[in-house]
Amino acid sequence: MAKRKVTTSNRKLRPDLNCDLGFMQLRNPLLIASGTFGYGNEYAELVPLNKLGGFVSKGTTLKPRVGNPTPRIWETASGVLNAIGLQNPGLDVFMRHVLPGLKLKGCKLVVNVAGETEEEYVEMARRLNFAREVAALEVNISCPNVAAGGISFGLKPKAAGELLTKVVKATRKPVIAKLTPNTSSYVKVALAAQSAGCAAVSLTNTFLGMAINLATERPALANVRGGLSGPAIKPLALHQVYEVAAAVDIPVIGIGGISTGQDAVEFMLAGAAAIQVGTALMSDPRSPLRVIDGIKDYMKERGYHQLTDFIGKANPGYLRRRIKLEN
Amino acid sequence: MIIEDAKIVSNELFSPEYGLIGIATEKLGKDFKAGQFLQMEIPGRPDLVLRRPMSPLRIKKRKSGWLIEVLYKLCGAGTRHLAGLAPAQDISVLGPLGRGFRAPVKGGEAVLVAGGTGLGPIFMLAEKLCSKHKVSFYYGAKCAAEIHIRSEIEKLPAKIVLCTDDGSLGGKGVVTDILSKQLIKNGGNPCIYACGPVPMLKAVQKLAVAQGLKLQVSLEERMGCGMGACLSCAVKSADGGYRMVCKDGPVFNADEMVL
Repeated sequence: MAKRKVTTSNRKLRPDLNCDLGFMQLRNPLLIASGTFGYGNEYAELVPLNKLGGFVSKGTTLKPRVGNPTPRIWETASGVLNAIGLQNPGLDVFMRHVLPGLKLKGCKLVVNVAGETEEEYVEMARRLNFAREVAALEVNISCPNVAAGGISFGLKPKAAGELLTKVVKATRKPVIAKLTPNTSSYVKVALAAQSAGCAAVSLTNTFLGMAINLATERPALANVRGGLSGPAIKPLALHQVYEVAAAVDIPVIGIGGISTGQDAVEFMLAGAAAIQVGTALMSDPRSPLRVIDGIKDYMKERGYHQLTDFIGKANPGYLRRRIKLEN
Repeated sequence: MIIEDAKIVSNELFSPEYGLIGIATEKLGKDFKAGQFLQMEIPGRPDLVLRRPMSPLRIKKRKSGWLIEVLYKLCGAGTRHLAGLAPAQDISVLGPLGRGFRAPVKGGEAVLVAGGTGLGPIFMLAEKLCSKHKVSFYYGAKCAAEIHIRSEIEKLPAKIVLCTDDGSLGGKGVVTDILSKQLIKNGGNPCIYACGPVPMLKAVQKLAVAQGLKLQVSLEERMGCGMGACLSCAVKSADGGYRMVCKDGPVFNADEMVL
């Protein structure tokens, strides 16, 4: 990686934020994370899709799901616990009524799919094959808040590999595996996703946690346990991204507590080819646009012309692997 | 819907538990319906990552922009911090969000019922309805010290009924007991509007059902985004599913919900 001199002329530098993941080209490296952006309509007035690299849909299941009892959300120090329970209208309603109305304006749509059984995942992958608007599937093997499916596929490399192999075979769409941080085998699960033919891995989903409501002396969430997100998990997620990026050859999409441009740059220096922003939207709907501007400012300051000038720079394992791949 | 960096212009504590904050905005305030809410940042506390959803009590036009007044109860880290903020402090506000109260039919009568911080949206509704409708305003609290902005309530061109649990002001007893007697005595076919603690809403719903009256209630639930995206603030609906307080509500037709 050649060092470029930082000079005053860098202020005039117009960094190229185009993000080529191989299977998907994004106009910038920012996607909105699943579950925080609905199906893209809710935030239309505040977060114009034409500014985003892409967004990941709410986790969608084959059949409609009503979700968990309330309370479903609880604020913790610099974080949020949630246990929504995959409330969604089901794949049919999504494909018939939501997809046709979406005006993507160059924003790439990734559909997050979750199932209780392998068959459900495969069926969804097959049906989404025919949706032109869908750039890729993100396979949720990491939802901590449902009784069946979700995380149970993502904890062990073997189970993940078997499921993902079937999903990849069922569709021509690129498949991104969304990984859970709640296993010490996360690197092996990522490698299993790669062997299964996944185009990328995204990590991390939320960390399992809980809170107690002192007013009631009961667990704060009706579901007792939930997934922790927000700035509180950033160092934990960053570490897992760093480890996975040094181990796999497919792109890694970094997620976990990103709310500023600096946060995003940290994930990219750790080896993330793109990033997702989620919980930060709740604090401020303008955060995704600020993150994009922040990445741009960082590149100007450092004299970087394109993202690949700094992706993985802080991760020797990642850099060694890329050099090997190029030769 | 607008997100705006606004300024606190007043912040007065009525009691150790209740405060009234005034926020000056440039644009946010126009077309704000009674019952709609805003999502307020807790300034200076980035560790509190969620905004606080609150319904205004009053919105006034200023020379330039708007003054939004919000009655709040100190119940957690966020509202306690809010209570300590001084005028001139910047504060980010997002709104108007959700669906507000729907007015009665032309010339129709309205019965308004407020309990606790439920006074906010009910007072704002009263100010809007008074000019065009016959309005009765019922407001109950624990004791006299928790009956707020009394002089302004009494200025409303409406029938005002105040009551306290301990009888230290107005009628003694819960607001719904007094409401029940009056509804039976007055007859007619008023629309009822209620905001307050769940036991109060349940009691009002019972009355409405018994008398065959229409009832709109404003509901609360722990909220995330406020935009209908995160699906946190679910409340049970009569059809066995859930509705979102932030997008489908906070004002609902009571007969469609399970309170």
